[in-house]
Formats: sequence, C-alpha cells, structure tokens
Amino acid sequence: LKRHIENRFWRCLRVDFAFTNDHEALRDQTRRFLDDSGGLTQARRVLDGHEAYSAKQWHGLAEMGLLGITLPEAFGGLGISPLFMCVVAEELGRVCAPIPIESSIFFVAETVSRCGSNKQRAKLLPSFADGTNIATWIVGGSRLPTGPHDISLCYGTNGLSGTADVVVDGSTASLGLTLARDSSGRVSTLLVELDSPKVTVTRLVSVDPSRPIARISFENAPFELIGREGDGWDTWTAALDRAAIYTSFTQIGGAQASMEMARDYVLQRTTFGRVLGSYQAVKHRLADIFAKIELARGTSLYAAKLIESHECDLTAAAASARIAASAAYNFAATENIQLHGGIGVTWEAEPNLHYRRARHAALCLGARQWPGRLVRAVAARVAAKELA
Amino acid sequence: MNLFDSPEEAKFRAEAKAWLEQAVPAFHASHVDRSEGAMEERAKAWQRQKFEAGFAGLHIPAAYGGGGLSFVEELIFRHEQAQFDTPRGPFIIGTGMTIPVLLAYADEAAKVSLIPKILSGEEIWCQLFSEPGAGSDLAAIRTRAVRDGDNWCVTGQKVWNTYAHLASRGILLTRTDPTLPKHKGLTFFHVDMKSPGIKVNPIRMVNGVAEFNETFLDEVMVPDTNRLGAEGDGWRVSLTTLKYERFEISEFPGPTTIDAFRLAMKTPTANGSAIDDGLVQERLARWYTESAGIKYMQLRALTVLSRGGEPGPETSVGKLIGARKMQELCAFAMEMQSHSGLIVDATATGFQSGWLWSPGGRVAGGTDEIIRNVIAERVLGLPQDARADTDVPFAQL
Repeated sequence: LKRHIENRFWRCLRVDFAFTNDHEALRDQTRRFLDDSGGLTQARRVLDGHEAYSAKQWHGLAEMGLLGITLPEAFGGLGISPLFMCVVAEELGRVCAPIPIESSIFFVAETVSRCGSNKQRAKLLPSFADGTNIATWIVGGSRLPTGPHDISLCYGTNGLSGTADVVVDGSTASLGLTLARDSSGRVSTLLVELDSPKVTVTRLVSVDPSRPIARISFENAPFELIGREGDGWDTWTAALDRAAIYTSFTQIGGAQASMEMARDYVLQRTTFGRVLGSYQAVKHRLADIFAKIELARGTSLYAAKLIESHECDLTAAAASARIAASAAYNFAATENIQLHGGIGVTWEAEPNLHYRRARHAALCLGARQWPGRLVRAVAARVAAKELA
Repeated sequence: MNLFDSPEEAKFRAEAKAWLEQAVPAFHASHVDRSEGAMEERAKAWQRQKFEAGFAGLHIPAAYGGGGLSFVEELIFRHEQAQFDTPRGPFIIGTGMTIPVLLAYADEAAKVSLIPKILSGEEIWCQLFSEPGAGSDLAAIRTRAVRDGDNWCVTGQKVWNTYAHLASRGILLTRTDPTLPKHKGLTFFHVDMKSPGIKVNPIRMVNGVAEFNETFLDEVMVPDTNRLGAEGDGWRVSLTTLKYERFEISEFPGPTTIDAFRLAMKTPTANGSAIDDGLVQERLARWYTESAGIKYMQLRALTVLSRGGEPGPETSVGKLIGARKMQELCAFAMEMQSHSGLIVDATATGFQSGWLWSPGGRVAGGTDEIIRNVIAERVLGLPQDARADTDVPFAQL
C-alpha cells in the first residue's frame, strides 16, 4: 500500500493545493472502517463511562497502519506524507473518535520522531505506531505556560516533581512528555513513565467525558531527556504548532459533520407548513457555517503543506489553522444544537457530542494565546521586511 | 505560493514576475498623472503594454489576440500582477465578462473584430444589465427590445454601469417577449455606446468616486447581427458572463490586513504599542486568518481548474468573507487612529476611503444575502426560496 501511495503521489503534482485521489482513497478506507466500528456510538460508549477510550477504533487504526503514517518506516511507521494523516484526522473528527490520537501521535510521537535519539526512537516509535503504548504531554499548573519563565514542574538529580492539574489522556497514558525546569532555570522536555509509584494520577470530570482528563503529581519521578537539555521551550512550541495543525483537521471533520447533521435535520423537520430548511434565517446560518469551514480548510491545508515541505517556521500558519478551525467547529457545533431545537439539548441526541468535543478541541492546546502567537510571528516578518 | 506550482507553472510565474518588475516602474515613470481625468488613458496604456508583451488574455486563443494558454497561466499572471501597483478596473468588464460571452456566442467575424480590441486596450466595454427595479432579481428587467426589420429598437433604463462613461461598447440584456415568464423572454446583445439615443449619467458613490453610471436607452437601433445567442435565450447567455466573475471580485482593492498590522505596530498606547494589546491582537489574528483562508480557497479553486474541473459556487465564499472583513478592518483601523481617524486619508493607506467604499463590496457582484442563498441552495441542497413569479407571463406581474 505504502509504495503504491507514494509513487502515485509524487507523479501527480500540478498546481497542487488540494487533496489528491490517493488521499481521498485513504479517506474512504478510513470512513468505512469508522462506520463499521459504530461511528458516533463509540464516542457515546466512552461518554457513558463504559470504556476510557475506544479500544476498537484505536487498535483498528493501528492494524491499518494509520497511527504511524508520519513516523519513519524504520521505526514501524509508513513514512508517507503528513497529508495522509490529515485526511485520517478529518474522518476521526467526524465521529468524535474517543481515542488519544492528538496526545499520543500528533504531539508525543511526532516530537520523539523529530527530537529523540535513535535509541529512543527505536524503543518508542514502534510501540506508538502499533498502539500498544499511549503517551501524552504534560505541563505543570492549571494553565498552559506563557513562556520559558512560566514553567512549574521541576527536575534535578532527584527526579521530576510538581503537579500538572490538567492532563488530557492522563489516566490512560503510560508515558508522559513533560516540560520542566531545573534549579538553574534551564527548560527541557523529559519523558516520564506514568506507571511509577512516584506518580499519582487522579481522574477529573471534563465537559467532554469522551476524552478523559486527569491531574498528575510527580514526586521525584525518574525521567529521561528528549532532545538537548535547555532546548525544552523550542521543542515544546514546535510540537504545539504541529499538533495544532493536525488537530485542526479533526476540528474540520467535526464541524463538517455538525453542519451535515443540522442540514439533514432541517430538511426533514416541518414547521408552519414548510420544511425548516426553507427559511432564510436557517439557510443563511448554514451558509455561514459553510463559510467558516471553508476558511478553516484553506488555512489548515496550507499549514499541512508547510509540514510536508519541511518548513520550520510554522507558527503563523499553525495559528491561522487553529483559529479558523476552532471558530468553525465551535460555531458549527453550537448552531447545530440551535437548529435542532429542544431535542438538541438532550443527553440522548447526538449534537451534544460535537458541542462537547468542539470545546475540548478548542481548549486542549490552549485558546487565548493563539492570536498573540500569530500576531507576534507576523509582526516580526513585517518589521523585517520594513528594515530590508 | 510558488510552493504549489508544477515546474512549468513555476517557470511561467518567474517570467511574469520578471516582466512586471521592469514594466511597472517604467509605466509609472511615463504615466505620473494619477488624477481621475487621466485614469482612462493610464488604464488603456497599461493594457496595451501587457498586450504588446504577450501577457493580455493569456487564456484567450491566439487567433483573437490572446496568449493561447490555459486559465491557470492567466490566474498566475493576475496573482503576480496583484503584487504590483497597476491600473485596474476599466478592462474588467471587457476581459472578464465580455470575452467569455463572445467566445461562446459570437460568430467568427465578430470574434476577430471585437476581442483583439479589448485585449490591446483600444476599447473599454461596459455591462448594461441591472435596472432600477432589477438588481439581485436581474431577470425582472424591463428594458424592451422590439424587432424592426434587421434591427432591434431598444428603450429602457440601466444602472450600476461601471465605466460606461468611458466605454466604446456594452453588453446588453433586454426583454424581447413580455408574454413569456420572466427568465424566458430575454435576449442578449452587444451595442455601440456611440449609438444615437444612448445617454450616460455618472453616479457619485459614498466615497465620492463616480465610476458607476446610469444609462438611458431611447429607441436605440441595434443590428440583429449584434445579437448573442438565440432570441429568448438571453438569461442563459448572461450566465456565461458570471462564470469567471467569481475570480474577478474575490479580492478587493483597498487596505490590507498587513496595512492594519503596520498601523498597530506604530500606534502608541499607555503601556507600549497597539500590537501588544489583546483586543487588537484578536482582531488582527482573525483578519489575517480570513485573508489567508480566502487566498488558499482561491488556490484550491485554481487546483480544480488545473486538474481540468470547474470550480463551483462555493468559490463565492471568498467575497462573502472578504467584503465584511474590509468593512470591519477599515473601521477598526480608524479607531486605532483615535479621533484623527475621522480625517479622510490621514495616512496614505486610505482606511477612510476604504471604509467609505466598503458597504459597496457587500452589495456588488451578489449581495451577502444572495451569496448565502446560493451557498445554501446550490452547495448544501436546501430548498430554493419561494418564488411567486417564475411561471407567470412577465406582462402579468
């Protein structure tokens, strides 16, 4: 499969700003698998507390090789274009897939693949790709850090200590990628085993119970460095940008599914003798949802293309993708409930799955700091141009 | 953007850019007068310069004076040209709307005589479609054309005729049979604007500029050989002009997001500069995201063309977002200037004139409301608005 995809992919480059037939073929394959595995009912199962995550979807994706799309072939991955991961992410978003892919793959596996030593990559990447090892990222305190001065987890010769109040997938992951500082203020990224007796994990109640969140405390927990000591902040921000880009595709998938759900509902529901979808107030709302999704598709695809062409400076593109995708998913999920009326507000109906997930996705990598990140990145470019 | 070109396309882009880099400064050196009175001559001269260098109408067959290439090359050239300060406007109706109709419906002799004069900058065309009582509902036009031997006698009033005061010729939509339902009794012509009975009056817009006109037609004789398409087929013919309109109107001239960045960077606040203010950042980030999104939507449409397809109505989302963005961006920039934001063109960027023009962007080329309807109906498959008049003879409405 891999060789086939790659050959065809490189041959069909023209003005090439869209997914190709090969990407679309993988999309179809992924969608079939997710439909067969129960679609949204898997998110419902996790929401209702039957499982911590959908093992069926997680291991099914692993068997298809889809968790390792971007990971090197030598370490159990497929080593093909990140755009394939984007179409898979979009499909996962459509069904609110209750699996730790953002944490384990988009954030940690990507970071280990880019910054880890060969030994670490050989040890860890195959277990991420086959789904046997779940990892997540961890920062101290209750807010995302605003800069390298704002790191609360501490490491030293005794190990890692401190508390992270919010860790997505903290209760299911066996490995954590943490951002911590030493006594001299150096910031580094560290790998920590979460099964250790030096680590305490407490499950918390989230607005989106289909994605588990925990508080994690470390007391002199053993760790190993990822990347060079002192490079932690740069590693972290680069990981954040990439994770935001991949996550924007799950948000687009969720937004598209919310829009389609609303469209299907207003086409069958009748009020005052006419179909709900024939009122302009309703039509225009759906058109506005569509417009926001289109914006997100454009900015996210551009950002993904930058990853594909090994561009290093991703911040402005990642921030645009994230801002547009969060706006689209929040708006689509919110208005989907509105267009469903009373039934949309019930626990049993499907719209709340997307309403919750849209919030989860918008907050888990931070929300308010992205406009500032974008503006600083663009202003720096504008200033550089003015000087030149 | 070059990132996504094929090698041939990248080569073409480089050629276009190289030519523009020497041609634009030379053009400015020889055309220093930027007053409204000099506008026609500037626009014609720039069009002629492109024509002589082989960059006019790249997607038009060479037999009619074009480049004989594809629309992809044409869009690449337009994209590169947009990076430079060049005259724009007067030739949009001719190149963007008229040529596609002539290619589809004119006979060979008319194509050979009319198209090269547009591309070479000799003739400006205007569009005589809208009427005081027919804007968004274009098929409600009342201008009558009555058969008179080998001619048609045309009487009526048209409005929003961009550059009609400079135009040599116009494309004209008329009603030839009021006994038929409104979309069925229409016929399409091209007309010599010097014909007796045509009177063009300028309309001054909110921003003080008079590029639009109203046009009165009083028993104007139009030869039947000027008819494009069959009698009664005017509605279908007029849709041809809109085919490429989406590519014409999706990015407005005026202040850009980067202009707003520059302003924020040099605007002082109590504790630094406006660029560090959270609210300002939120706005700038949104507009940057919208500008980027529009640009990449166009690139996606270009990809569809490049793969041999035709972009659909979803492309109009760009105008829906871009027009409102322009309005909000200009208004916010004026607020950043504090009370001096009231002064017209306090800065060279023109946030004030952009703000004065921006309501027009939300109306021209399909109002926000019409675009939302189009997206809802033709993209999302929602029911068409109830229309009471589609099957009724026009004369009975």
